[in-house]
Amino acid sequence: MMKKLLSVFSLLFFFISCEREYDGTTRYVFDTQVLDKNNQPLANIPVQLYFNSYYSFFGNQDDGNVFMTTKTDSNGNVRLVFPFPTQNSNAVGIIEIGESTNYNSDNNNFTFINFQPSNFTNFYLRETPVTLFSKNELVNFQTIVNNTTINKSVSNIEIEGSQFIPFKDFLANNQNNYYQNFAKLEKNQTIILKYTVTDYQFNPATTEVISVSIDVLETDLNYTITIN
Amino acid sequence: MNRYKLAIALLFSLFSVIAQNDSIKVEKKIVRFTEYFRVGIIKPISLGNNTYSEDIKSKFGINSSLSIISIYDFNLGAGADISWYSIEKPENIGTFSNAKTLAYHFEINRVIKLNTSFNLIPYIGIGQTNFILRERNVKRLNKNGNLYRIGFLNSYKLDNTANIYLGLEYNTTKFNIQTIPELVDYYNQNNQFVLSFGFLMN
Repeated sequence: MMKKLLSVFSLLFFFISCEREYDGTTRYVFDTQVLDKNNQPLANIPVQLYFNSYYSFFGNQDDGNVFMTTKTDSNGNVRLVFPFPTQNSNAVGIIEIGESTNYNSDNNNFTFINFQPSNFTNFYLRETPVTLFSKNELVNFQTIVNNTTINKSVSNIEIEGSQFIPFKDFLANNQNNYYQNFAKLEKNQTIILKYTVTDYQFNPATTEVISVSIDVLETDLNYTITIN
Repeated sequence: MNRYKLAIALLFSLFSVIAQNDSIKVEKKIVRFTEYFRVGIIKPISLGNNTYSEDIKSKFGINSSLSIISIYDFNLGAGADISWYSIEKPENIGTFSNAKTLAYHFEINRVIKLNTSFNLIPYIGIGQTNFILRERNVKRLNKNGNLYRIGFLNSYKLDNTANIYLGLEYNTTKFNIQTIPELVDYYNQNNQFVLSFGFLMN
């Protein structure tokens, strides 16, 4: 009987201890501005802050719960002042700008992910303005690799042109160098699609950077990269 | 801020003048045991432009103080206050359910007879305030600060030992929260007037 009671209490303690605690000794300040594609400020855009565990086996009970909600002011500015979770929680911050749960919203949303106290200087972080594109200003662009040979591979697919990258990852080394087989592009422009073809028939393998000019019009677009 | 300094100065003056005019001179031991205990309900009113006045709103609280030693008619005691607050601006402070403060303090007070029924009891004290933000009644954030308090009670004698009192206190708590310079004052200082009402055994 005693063992059962101890087990129940241990389990209760485990769940209670999963509750995240915040560091009361500090307040970090995050500033940014939200603009439309014409650099005009966007007012009343919802902004949400929450914390997730970066590398926790079980995670925390309140992962995904919003810690703070506010809106941009008439100049599109937003300031969040908040404590970080205590250090032993392995938590990283996430700020979501826009209406993530409202699919009828006119604008796409943007997310800052994986920021930590080390990203702040003297408790302050000012991010460059975020440009939110309206959904009807963008088209979906997808690259499909059609590889008919095992001797070649395609890598480093990049797009040069006006596109909406919906996040900034503070843990990523190079924000603009992530794999782009899917992108949201501004309508009515010409983009340059770059990719690297590696040929393993030779030793050492040879690489070739290919650039393709693509007209983006009013509708979603798929582009197939064929390798023979 | 000058108004608060003026109020503190007036309280000190009142304390000094009335103490000097205390006409009942009975030969007493310098150090003696005394019985002084009070418990009451408090209503803190935070002042100024800071997180404690803007982002949370006080509901009510409970205070208590106990003195068992008196030196030169000054009662030396200790006490504790607990106050509850609602969250007014979660966009500034976070989506916590509620807040509370726990204050522990040492106190020096003196019971000054005004007439057969009324006593004036000025006091000063220092201590610690623990500011706590809670979610689902679980402590999620807490911070300690240094507390300084000054106030007075006006008590009415019900019988030889029991009194009821009304009180007014001014206190300030200095927290040491690190943030950007323009927000230091907003988070680091909580100045309050505290109204109190309760029972006093003396």
